Amino acid sequence: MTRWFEENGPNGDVVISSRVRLARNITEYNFSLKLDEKSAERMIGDTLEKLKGIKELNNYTEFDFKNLNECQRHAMEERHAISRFLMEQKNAAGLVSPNEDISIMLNEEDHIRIQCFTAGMNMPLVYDKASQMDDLIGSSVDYAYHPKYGYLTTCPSSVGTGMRASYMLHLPALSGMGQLAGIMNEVGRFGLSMSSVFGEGSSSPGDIYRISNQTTLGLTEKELIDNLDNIVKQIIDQERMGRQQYIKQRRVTAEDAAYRSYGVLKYARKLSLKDALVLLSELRMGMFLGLFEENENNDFSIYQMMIGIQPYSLQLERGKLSQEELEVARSEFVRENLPDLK
Amino acid sequence: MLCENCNENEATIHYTEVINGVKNEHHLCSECASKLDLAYYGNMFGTELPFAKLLTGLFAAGKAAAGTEENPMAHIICPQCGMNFEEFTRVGKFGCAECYNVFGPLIDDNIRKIQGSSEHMGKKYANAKKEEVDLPDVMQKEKFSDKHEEIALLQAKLKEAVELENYEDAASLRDRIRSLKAKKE
Repeated sequence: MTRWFEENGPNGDVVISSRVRLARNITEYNFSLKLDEKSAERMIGDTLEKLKGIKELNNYTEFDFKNLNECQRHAMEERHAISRFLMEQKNAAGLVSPNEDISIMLNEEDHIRIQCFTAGMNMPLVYDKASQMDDLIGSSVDYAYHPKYGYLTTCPSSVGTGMRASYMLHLPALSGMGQLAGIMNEVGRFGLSMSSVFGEGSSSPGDIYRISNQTTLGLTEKELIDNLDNIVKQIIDQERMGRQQYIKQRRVTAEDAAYRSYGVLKYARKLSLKDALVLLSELRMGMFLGLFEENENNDFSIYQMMIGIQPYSLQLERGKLSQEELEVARSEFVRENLPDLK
Repeated sequence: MLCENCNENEATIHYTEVINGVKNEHHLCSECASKLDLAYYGNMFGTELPFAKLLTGLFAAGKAAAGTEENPMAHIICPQCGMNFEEFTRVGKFGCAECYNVFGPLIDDNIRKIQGSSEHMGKKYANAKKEEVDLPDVMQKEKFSDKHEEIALLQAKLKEAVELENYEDAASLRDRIRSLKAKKE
């Protein structure tokens, strides 16, 4: 089955994915901070049994950290099936849908995290899916809910809706024009936060950024999403304007960069993660700008390659690799998966 | 100006933070500042959730202002998970659902500062139990077996009343605290 990140969605030139995460806790257990190992195991076991009793989840794949090695956990995190927080937990389990667009994580910072992804920009759709899942789970376990504060969470920054909606955006033009630091600062004023997906702080090989709501209380889910969407639409417009300006003023440079990236990706025999991300970002923008003369795979999702070149995803089938072996494997993976362009 | 944390040394470091349009000024001496994780402010976007840290800061500042000596807040413990006020202000996170009833009223204004509101407007939980709908009212003294707890809650209310310039309430709260303290001795 095609996984969600193997496709491009609406506004796919800029928006890679839409994601909603709902944080929920169960009344009968202490929150993660005060949950000892034994109780955590009981919480995981009991809840997993209840989830498996929901017939809508029959075709989901079950995972349990007891049966996963370190590499498998990291690889799940690299393709966003589980969160980083969950990956670092000692005990955890959950369910993942067949195309990996929905996951239910147990023993995250909150007992239950429901996560739903879709390619491109469609937050209302993902929210509906997550909310339906929430209703199913909420009728088989007792959520911690307060008439005033709403859904109770470990961290006061998630309380209320317990919802974090986030977009992954590809912003090579804004990044190239040095405008991102300003935008990152600006979005804070609207109750949003922005960070880079690969890399730290403002340096972001691959130019992929995540933007999400910070506020979770006092507004409805729809208002939070509308607020996020308004800002993201403006960022999309600015990114597109930047790209158009770039090919208008420096067409040859833009074509050169796109073809050069393609050439290196196609013929390199060793690729570091950072280099590969930078080259794939150039290639992705070039494809969407129509800089290649022949492109039969218009719908090809470059983002799936950005996941595939991550260290643990590469080692999943090849076993443990040294740094050099990893770079060689990365170049092989890229050659095998690169779309045919001329 | 004295440092807001230790109230002893001259404040030499002044910074302003603006979150969701709410401006907060802080004044610290170099000693206290070095203990604070100010580097976090430079790395705000490296993390997905800078709020928790901020919240800890807000709580800690409130606690320091109240004076650590014989701070009645320190006696508040969540009966469900054992979280105490000191730990709560340090980690800035709740230990269980009951913590929201225990610490919630104390930090209502902090939650509002961070979230812009302290009332849930979103999706309602269909299965929510009908019981315990009433919030613990600080004015209902029979709810508190421990006098310390009641004094602490009244002091929190007093602080809020003063901040809201609601001096009439503040005066009555102050009198109640005084009479409770007198009874204690």
